[in-house]
Amino acid sequence: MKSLGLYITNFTLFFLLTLLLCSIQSSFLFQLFSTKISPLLWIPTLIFWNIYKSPRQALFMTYTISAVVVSFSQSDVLGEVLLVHTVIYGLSLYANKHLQGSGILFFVLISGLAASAFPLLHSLTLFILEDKSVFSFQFFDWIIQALFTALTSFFLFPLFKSVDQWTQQKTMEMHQA
Amino acid sequence: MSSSHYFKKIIIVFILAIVPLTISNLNPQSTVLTGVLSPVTAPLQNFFYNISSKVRGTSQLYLNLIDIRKNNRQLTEENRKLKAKITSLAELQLENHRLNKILNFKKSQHINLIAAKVIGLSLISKSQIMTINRGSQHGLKKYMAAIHTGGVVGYVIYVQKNTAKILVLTDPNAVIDTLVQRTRTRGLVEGLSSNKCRFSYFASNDSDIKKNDLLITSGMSNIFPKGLPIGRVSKVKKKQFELKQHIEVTPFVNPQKIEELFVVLSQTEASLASEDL
Repeated sequence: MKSLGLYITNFTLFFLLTLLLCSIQSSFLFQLFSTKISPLLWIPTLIFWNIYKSPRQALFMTYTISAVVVSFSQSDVLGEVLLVHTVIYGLSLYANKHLQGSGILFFVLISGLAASAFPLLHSLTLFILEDKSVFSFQFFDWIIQALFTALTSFFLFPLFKSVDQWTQQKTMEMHQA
Repeated sequence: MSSSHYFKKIIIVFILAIVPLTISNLNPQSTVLTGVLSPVTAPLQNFFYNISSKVRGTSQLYLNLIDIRKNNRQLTEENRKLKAKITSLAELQLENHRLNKILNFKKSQHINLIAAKVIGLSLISKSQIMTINRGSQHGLKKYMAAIHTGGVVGYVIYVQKNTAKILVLTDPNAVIDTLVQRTRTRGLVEGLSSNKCRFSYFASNDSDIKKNDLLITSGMSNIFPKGLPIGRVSKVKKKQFELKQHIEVTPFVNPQKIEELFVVLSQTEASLASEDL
């Protein structure tokens, strides 16, 4: 019972953190930067759960984060965002299993790769699924956005670890150890 | 030495002292005594005066430098504060200019407008959605037009109590009923990317659309009042043997730079009457 309560607390805290990060990106950062080069602040949360939690828990968080992201955008894109996040979920699990990395640098690397994959996958999804779509892509904005996201994940990782420690949740690293 | 010799010396000294004093007292105007040595004393005095004045000047300069340094620091600090104030005043001036422009625009239109601030943008860059700080509480409804002093911005797609979401015309999902002002060709403007739209129309013999032609709202969709500027034709590439043609359009309004906009609540009778003509 206690562990369930702690798990719910852990999930709620990450959910609130995601809401906060998305709000910062949506309402604060665009005043400083444009929407193109602001970091994708929800990606580090997604990757943290994909790497350091069990696959079932990570999938649940993937769905939750998709709903949060769409609530800041438009309800019609839920399917597309969910599809892209699921692909990223699969790729993260594959990378975690085969790369056998650990620590903050591994997390930053995977976050950066996920941030670079998201716009590509989203454009591709729109191109395939939408009747009228143009595959428009801006290389330098894409690179800068991925780098910004990787940089942000570097600072978010200790926060995520603290939340896990505070709610006494063991990460997959410790399980594997 | 005898006492008489000693006494003589005293008398001589006394005389030598008394006599000039007596003479000078008797004739104070006399410059005989002073005039004798003045050729020597004057230059000496000048010489020592110059030295002392230079020493005094140097020490005064040194003392002044300390004061100057202190004043310099104070003036630098004051200058820095004034510069910061000028920067903030410049920003206020720009905001004032922008708000005046908005106010004049609102007054000049025969439509009921409500001003709104953009408080958020979509997280996904492909999706051009803005969140504004007006909602159903302020009279907003779905499919109300959103415009700016430069032209059309988009339309409302989702309304909550205090906020609403605007679909910007550059979003791939946005569609606006449009007229080419010069040729009166009717078609649809659809969003393409963050700064480009596409005008789609059915080609006919007299639809000679050229670069820089102005596109305006047709007023047929019950969303936008007639005649609002949308953008200009930037690229014309006609496909032979195709009924439906597409033309690239550059919108007047850059969604990335909008901070305030208007939502059209309703059109006034004057506006509706002018459309009928």
